[in-house]
Amino acid sequence: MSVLARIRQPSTLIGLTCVFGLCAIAIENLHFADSMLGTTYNRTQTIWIVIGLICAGVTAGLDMQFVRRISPIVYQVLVVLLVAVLFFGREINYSKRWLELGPANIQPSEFMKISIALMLADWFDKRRSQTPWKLRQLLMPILLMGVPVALINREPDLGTSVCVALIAIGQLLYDGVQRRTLVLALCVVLIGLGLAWKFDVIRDYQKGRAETWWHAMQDDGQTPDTGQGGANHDNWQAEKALWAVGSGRVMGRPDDEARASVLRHVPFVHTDFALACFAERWGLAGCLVLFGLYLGLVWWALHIADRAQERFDALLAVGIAGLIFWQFFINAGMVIGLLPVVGVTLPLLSYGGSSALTVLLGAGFLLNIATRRKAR
Amino acid sequence: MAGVFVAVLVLIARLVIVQGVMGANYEKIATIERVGKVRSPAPRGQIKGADGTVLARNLESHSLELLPAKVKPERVAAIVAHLRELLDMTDAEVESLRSELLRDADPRKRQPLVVRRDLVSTHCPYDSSQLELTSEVDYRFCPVCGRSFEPVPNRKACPFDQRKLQAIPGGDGLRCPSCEREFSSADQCPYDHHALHHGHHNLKCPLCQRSFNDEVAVLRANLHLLPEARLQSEIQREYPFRFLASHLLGYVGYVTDADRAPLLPWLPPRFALTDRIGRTGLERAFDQALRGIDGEQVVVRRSGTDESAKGMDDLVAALQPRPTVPGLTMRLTLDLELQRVAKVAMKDVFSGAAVVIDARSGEVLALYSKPSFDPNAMSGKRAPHGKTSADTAAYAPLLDKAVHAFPPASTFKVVAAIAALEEGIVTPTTTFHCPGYYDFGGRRFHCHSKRGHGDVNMREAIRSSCDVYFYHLGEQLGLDRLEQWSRKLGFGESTGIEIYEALGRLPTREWYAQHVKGGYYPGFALSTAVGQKDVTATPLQVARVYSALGRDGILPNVTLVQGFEGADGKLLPRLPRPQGRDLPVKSSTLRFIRNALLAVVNDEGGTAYASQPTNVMMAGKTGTAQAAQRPRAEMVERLKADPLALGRLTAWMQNDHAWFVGYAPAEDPEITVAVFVEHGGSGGHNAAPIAVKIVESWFARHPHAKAVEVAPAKGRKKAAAAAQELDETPIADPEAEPTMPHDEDPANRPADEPHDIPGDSGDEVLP
Repeated sequence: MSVLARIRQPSTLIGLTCVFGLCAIAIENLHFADSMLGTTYNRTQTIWIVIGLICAGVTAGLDMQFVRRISPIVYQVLVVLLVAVLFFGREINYSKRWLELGPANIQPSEFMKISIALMLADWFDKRRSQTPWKLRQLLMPILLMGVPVALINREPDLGTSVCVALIAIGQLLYDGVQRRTLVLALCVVLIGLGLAWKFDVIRDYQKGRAETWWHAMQDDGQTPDTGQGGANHDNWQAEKALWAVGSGRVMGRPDDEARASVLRHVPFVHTDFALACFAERWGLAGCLVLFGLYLGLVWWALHIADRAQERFDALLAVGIAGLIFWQFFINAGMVIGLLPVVGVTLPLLSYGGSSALTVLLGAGFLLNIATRRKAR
Repeated sequence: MAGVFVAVLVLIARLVIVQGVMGANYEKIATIERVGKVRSPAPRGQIKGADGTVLARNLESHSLELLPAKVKPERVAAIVAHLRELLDMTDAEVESLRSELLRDADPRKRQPLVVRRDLVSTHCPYDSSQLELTSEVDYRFCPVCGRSFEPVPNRKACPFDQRKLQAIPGGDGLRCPSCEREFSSADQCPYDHHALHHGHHNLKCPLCQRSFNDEVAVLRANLHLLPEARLQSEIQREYPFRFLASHLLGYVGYVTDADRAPLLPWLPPRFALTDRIGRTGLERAFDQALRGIDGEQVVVRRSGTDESAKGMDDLVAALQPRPTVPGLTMRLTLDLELQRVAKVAMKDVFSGAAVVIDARSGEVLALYSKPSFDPNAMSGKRAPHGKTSADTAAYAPLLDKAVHAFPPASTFKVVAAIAALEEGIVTPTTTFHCPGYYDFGGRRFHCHSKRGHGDVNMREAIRSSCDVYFYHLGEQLGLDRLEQWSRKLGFGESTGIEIYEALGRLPTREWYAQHVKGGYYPGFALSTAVGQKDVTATPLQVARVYSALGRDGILPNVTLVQGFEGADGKLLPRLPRPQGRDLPVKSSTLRFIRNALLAVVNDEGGTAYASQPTNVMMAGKTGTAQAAQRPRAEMVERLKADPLALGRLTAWMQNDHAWFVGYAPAEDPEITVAVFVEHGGSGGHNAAPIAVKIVESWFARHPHAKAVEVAPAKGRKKAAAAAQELDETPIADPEAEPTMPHDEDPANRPADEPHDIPGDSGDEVLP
C-alpha cells in the first residue's frame, strides 16, 4: 500500500480532519479575539500553525529509530533549557516560562510534553518485561518525569507540570503496573498533595483558586459578584468566563453582541480562556462540534495505539493522546467552572507558538505511526 | 477510550447546564458590565438644647481648588484674572497665587491648590446663620488692603450694634468702634487711597447684618471659564454657638488607625478611612447613636441591548442595597439661656466652672467651663488630639472644669457636720471655742479668721465657716469615718452624667499609706474635715450633694440628655434611668443643715451674706481652698519668651480656689448652682456673686411663688451690705503669712518639724 492509500484510511482521515478543523477554528477564533483586543495574534499564530504543519509533515516521514536515538538528547537539552528558563526566562504574569530566542519566545515546558512521551515510550520499550511494572523498577521513569515536573512547577506553571505528569502516568498505566504499586503510588500522591498544601509548596494564589473553585461549585454562580474585589478577587477570571460561556446559550450570539458583552472582561481570552470566547459565539452547538473534534483526535491516537505493532509506537500514541486529552479536559473544565483555574492551554485553539507546535508535532508522530503500521 | 468518553460526557453535561439551563441567567448577569456598592454615609445626628436650638449640626462647606497638572503656563494670567474678578482677592493673594502657579515644579506631582476655603453659599461665615436673599446691596472692596466697605447708613449708626460711627482718620469713611465694621461711599480706599472694587451683594445675614455674595453660585456659573478649577464640597460638623457649650458637646475628629482596627482580627475595619468620630464630650459618649448606620447603594452599569435589561431591577434587589440610617438627633436638658448667663457671669474670671442642675430631677441646666475652646476648630483635624490632661495651654481650655476634681474646701464641711451629728459625737448645741487656731499633733492649724470666732455652736460654725470647729469634729471622727460618710453623701462616686467625669478622691488611711511618703498621720483627718489637702470633688458632684441636702435627702442622678428625637421630632421613649437614692441621714439632721446653709446666705455674719438674689431665697455654702501652685515646668518653658505672661500666670496661681454652692428657693429647691473659680480668691466674694447672677436670671424667667415674700428683704440686705463690707474685710484678706506652693511632698510634715509652721501647705483654710 502506498503512503497515500494509507492516508486514505478512514481513521487517518478522521484524525487529519480533526487536526485541520481545529487549526481553522483556532485561526478564526483568534481573528475575533484580535478584533476585540486590537492585537495581531491571528497573524503570528497562522505563521506558527503553518510552521507546525510543515514540521508535522517532516515528522510523519521520519525514521522512528532515528527519533528514538535522538530523544534522550532532546530530553537533556530541554531539561537544560528548563533550568535556563528559571534564570534567564522572560517573566509574563509573574511566572518565568519563556526563553527569548531571536524573534520568537519559546516555551520549553511545552516541548517537554512531547519529549517526555518519547522518552518514556523508549524507556518502557527497551526494558520491556512480561510482568506488570513493580515499584522499584519504576524509579528511573519516575526520576525522568520528576525532574521536568519539578522544574516546570518552579517557574511557576502548575498546569503544565501536572500535564507532563499525567502524560507520563497515562503511558505507565497503559503499559501495566502491579496493583500493589498502583495503590501505594496513589497513597503517596495523596499524602504528598496534603503535605504540599500544608507546607506551602503550592502557592497561595493556587490555593485561593482551588478554594474559590470549591465554593463556586457549591452555589453555582447564581448571584453575580459585586465586583468589589476587583482584579484581586480570586474568582474573578473564572466567574467572568462562566458568564461569557453561559451567555452563548444554545446557538451562540452574534459577534457584535459578544464583543460588547462581558467577554471584554474575560482575561486571557486569546490564550487560556479561548474556549470562553468560542463558547459565547457559537453556543452549545458549536461547543459540541469542537468537543467532537478533540474527541476524534484522541480517538485517533488511541486507535493507532491499539493497532500499533510495536510497543514503542503504542506507548508514544498513548502519550500523545494523553497530551491532547488532558490539556483539553483541564482547560475546558476550568473555563466552564468544573475545575480550578490553572494555566493550561487548549490544544491548538489557544494562542501560543510552542503549544501549537507541540500538538502538531504530536499529530505528525501519529501520522508517522499510522502510515508506517502496515509496512511490516 | 471509555474513560475519555466519560470525561467528555461530563464536560458536555456541564456545558448543557451552563449554556442550556442556566444560560438565560448568565446572559442577564453578563450584561452588567460593572456592579458596585457605593457607601452612602449616614448624616450625623444633631444635638439640640432643651428648647430645640441646634447646638451641633452638619453643614456643607465648599472650597475652590486648582489642579496644577492641568494648568498650562500660558493660561495662568487668564486664570488669575478670572479668579480676581469672581472672588474678591487682594493684590497680595493674587500675587501669591500667580507665583504658586508659575512655580517650577513637576505639575503632575503637585497637590491640588486650594484657592479659597469656606466659600460663602448658604450660611454666614461669621456666625453660620442662614443667609437671606435681599435686594442688591452696594459694597466696595479694596484690592490692596483687602478691607471691604459697606454703604454708609443713613443714621450714621452701625446697623448691627447701633453704636455711633467714627470717621476714619485721613480718608472718607466711617468705622464702628465696637464691631470694627467700615463704611464708605467714596471710590477710594480711605486707608491707602487705591481705587475700590465695586460690586453688589445679594445675600444678607439676618443676625450680623453683613452682606455677601453667593460665591459658590457665581463660581458654578463661571466654571466653564476655568476648566482647571473644581469646586469641592464636604460635610463639616458645625457648632453654631462655638465657645458656649464646647466642653459638654465635645468635638469630632478623623479616625486613626487605632480606631479603625477591628475588635477581632478577622472582622472588617470598623470605620472607613474618612470617617469622623466623636472625640470628647457628648459627641464621644453618644457616638454610636449620633453616627447612624452607613448605607450601601448598588450601582449597576450595564452594556448590551435593551432586551437584556429586563429583570435588572430584580437583580439589583437581589444585591440587597442597605438603606442609610441617619444618626439620631439628641435633645439635651441644657438651658441655653442659662448657659449664656453663666458664661456672662463668669466673664471676669480667668478660669473656673459653673454648674446648674435641677435639684429635683438632676437634669443639667447649665454646665460651663472657662476658658472654653471652639470645637469648630478642633473638628476635622486629622491628628488625634491628646488627652485633656496633656494639654499645656495656660488655664487649660480643653479641661472641662465642671467635671474635674478640685479640693472642695469649706463646701465639704457639711460632711463632717452630718457625720458628727449622725454618729452622735456632737449635738447642734455643742460649742467649741475658736481662738483662731487649733493645736494638734504638735502643730498649729489655723482658722481663716485670725482673731477667732470665739465660742461657736455648729450652726454658727457653718454660717461663718469656722475651721476650728471642724478641726474638732475631724479629730473626733477620724479620717476613715469621714471617708465613709462622704461616700454615703455622694462624693467620690459617679454623678450619672453621660460625659466623662472625674470621680474625685476621698483619701483614707490606706490611701495615705500607699501614696504619701511617710504615710498617714492623724492631722490629715483635720484637713479633710475642712475639704483641704488631698480630698477632691468636682463642681458637679458638689452641686448634686447639695441638691440632696436641699431636697430632704434624695440624691438625684445627674443627666444631660432628655432623649433622642424620632422622625416626627418628638422624643422617643428613653431607657429607664437609674433613680436617685436616699441619703442614709436622719431628717432632723438634714433640717438642721438646711437651716445652717440658709444662714450662710441670709444671716448677718454668714460668709455669703453679701450675695443674696433679689427674687428668691437662696441657701448655700462658700468655700475657699488654699491651692497656691507653681506653673508647671512645660508652661514655664513655653512662656519663656513672654515673661509678662509668665508673671501673670505665676501670680494667678498663688490665689486660692473660690467655691460657692447653693440651692434656691431655700425652702423647696428647684435649682442647685455650683460655681468654682480656679485661683479666684474667696468663695464669698468671688464665687457667690456669680451664682447669684445665675440664680436671679433663672427666677426672673421662672418666677417663684414665694418671690414676693423675699422681695422686701432687699432693703434689709442693702442696709446690711454696707456693714457687712466692713465686717467681712478680714475674711477677704489673704493670709498675712506668705503662702507656699501647694506641695504634696510631705518633707515638711510635722513628724520632722514638730513646731508651728506658719503657712504650711494645705492646713490653713479660708472661708
